[in-house]
Amino acid sequence: MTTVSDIGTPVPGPAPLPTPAGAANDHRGSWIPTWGMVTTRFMELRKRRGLIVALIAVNIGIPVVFLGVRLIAHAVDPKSYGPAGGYSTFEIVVLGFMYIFGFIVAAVVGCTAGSVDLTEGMFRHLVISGRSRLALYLARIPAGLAIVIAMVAIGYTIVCAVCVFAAPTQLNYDGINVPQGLSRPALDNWAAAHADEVICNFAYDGPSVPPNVPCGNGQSSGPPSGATIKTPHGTVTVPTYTQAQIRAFAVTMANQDYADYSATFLVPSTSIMFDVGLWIALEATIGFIVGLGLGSLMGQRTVPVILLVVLELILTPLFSRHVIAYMLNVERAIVGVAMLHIEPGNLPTPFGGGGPGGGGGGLGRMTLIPESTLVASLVIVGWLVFWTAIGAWRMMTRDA
Amino acid sequence: MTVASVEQGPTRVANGQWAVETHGLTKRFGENIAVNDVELLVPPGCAFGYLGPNGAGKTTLIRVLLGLTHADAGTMSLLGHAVPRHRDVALARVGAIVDEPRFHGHLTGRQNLQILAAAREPAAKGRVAPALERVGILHRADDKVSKYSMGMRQRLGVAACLLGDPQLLILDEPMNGLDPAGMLEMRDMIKSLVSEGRTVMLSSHLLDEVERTCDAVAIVDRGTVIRQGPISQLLAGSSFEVQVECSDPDRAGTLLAGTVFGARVQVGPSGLAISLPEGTGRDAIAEINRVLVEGGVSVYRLQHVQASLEQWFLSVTSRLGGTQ
Repeated sequence: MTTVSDIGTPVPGPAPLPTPAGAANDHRGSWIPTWGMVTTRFMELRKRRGLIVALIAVNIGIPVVFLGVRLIAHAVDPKSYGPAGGYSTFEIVVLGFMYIFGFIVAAVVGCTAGSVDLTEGMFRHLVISGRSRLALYLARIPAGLAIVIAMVAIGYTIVCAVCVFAAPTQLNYDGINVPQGLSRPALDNWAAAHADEVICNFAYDGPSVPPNVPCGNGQSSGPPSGATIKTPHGTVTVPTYTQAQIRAFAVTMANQDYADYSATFLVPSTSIMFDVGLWIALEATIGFIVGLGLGSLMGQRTVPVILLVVLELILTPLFSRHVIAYMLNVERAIVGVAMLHIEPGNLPTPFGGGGPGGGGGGLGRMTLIPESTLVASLVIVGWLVFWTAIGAWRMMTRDA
Repeated sequence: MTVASVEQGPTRVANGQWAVETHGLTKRFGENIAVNDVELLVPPGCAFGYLGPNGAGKTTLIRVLLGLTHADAGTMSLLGHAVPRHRDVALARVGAIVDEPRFHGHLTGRQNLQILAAAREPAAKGRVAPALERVGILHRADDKVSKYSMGMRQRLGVAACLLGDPQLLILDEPMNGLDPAGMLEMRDMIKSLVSEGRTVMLSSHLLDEVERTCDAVAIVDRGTVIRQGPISQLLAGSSFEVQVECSDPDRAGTLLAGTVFGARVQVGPSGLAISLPEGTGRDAIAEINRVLVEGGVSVYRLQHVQASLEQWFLSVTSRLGGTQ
């Protein structure tokens, strides 16, 4: 075995350098990131051309193209193409697209922010600076959110503007133009005055057979008077309705549909736009934070992105509507399900699948699995805290 | 403005304090011991070579020192500050390159340094341009790093080291990827950094470069430091060769074979090459001359040839290999 030779005293050399001012008290052991760390991290993400193009395309580009085509089509042929904006357009663009894909793109940004320092070799340089690893992790959150939320806000503002300023002047309810904002008696009066249109177009669910009125193009609303038909309530003979009875039947139908009518607007209200804006911003924030934590945990981008796409497009729609008794609490703990429970207003559900009353596309009002608003809120907060803690822990313990 | 002239303040490293000090430092990867009970003392204000063959544990030791991975046993300090306990204070005055320097390829060299400067003290931001200028890539500072050559990335790595106006620079294989001119510039830069009072600890397997650049070395093999100290001191005690030009080389060889020097004598057409073992004093040269003259051999020239660091390194490491 060899031995270490006599080392002796330090080699004489020039006097060591003095410590620069500020180096001793820059608090680099603190977990709070500096403003400079946040802004340079923002710059690093902003300079990723592919990522930013994807963000702009999803949050701004596609809604703008969709609305732009509708605006042009309406301008060219207003009889065939309705106004570009309005409440239904708002539902389709915001709930059917921005909500779901905003989450996915935010998750991609999060996974990128959580893993690129490691994969591109910068993590080591940053650790050598002596800066707290927790501060290095936390700096990514405001930087990434500044990008994600800004994109969501710009896209959402454009959508809201078009939906408000290019809205139809008359409410189209069940295919006919109806004045907006009528009270129940006013709607009754309007229905009595437009009995044939109401009977031909409004939804009806009851034991009586609707009167037979002309609906245009040789169509009528039901079987002729005196005919015998089978209904869920038994075999009945279609009565002969007087004009007064026809008006009364229209009023009955209008009463039946009033709740649905009253939830339908020409334009989204300011409060709805504000609440929905916060809601989709929260969804994007969750996507980013979870992506950041998962990216940091796994040290790569591809697999976390795939996992989050599966969560958003497969697990959330599946578990939000199908009660599985023995794992109900697991279903409730999925953040996407919790988010649907705090959806503002009486909007269709993004994963509703085009059910009754839906605005079209993948939207529809559906019955969610039972979960209180309090539990849903706790689930959301829990996901944000858990994934931040996991990502930070991995960054603090990882070999660089 | 140079990096060295940014600010002035109180001295951090007291006289006599080691720039790097480790005791019993050990790092294992499963059954493999990458750093084995290392006792290392790096004096301040010098260029110190951490020398060893590939796989000797040089990079692992550096990673442990910098807190990039944890040690399994032992204590260590940088610039007098115990790490990892006072890691933030210690690393505030340390710059380092570990392995091949890599950066965000989609950003420019300047932007990469801005990110690193933001993680340091506020004054570091003002050192970005001087650091780029010092390593000679200021003219390419606004090009994307993805377009940099390996040598330029190496220089950018050194620039990153300089952002903290470091007292101690730890450079892992800094000559890697550099062409001869680049190696010369790097060597000059290391010397200039030392002349400013900084300590430069560099790991390398290029013995010639270490001999040209460093004042002191530690030799590491299989995770263990087997020798350390100033190069001149280490070589002074090593084996050396005496070349003799004389009238009758064959007779000279026969005469010297009967001496007790333990010398290995090689006879050539014009003289002898006599290898003397480690620890032999300079008196042996005079004794060789006396034996030859008294034996009737005319001596025309006697030359003492000191072993190079490379020869010494190979003799030390090969002997270790032979005993294990």
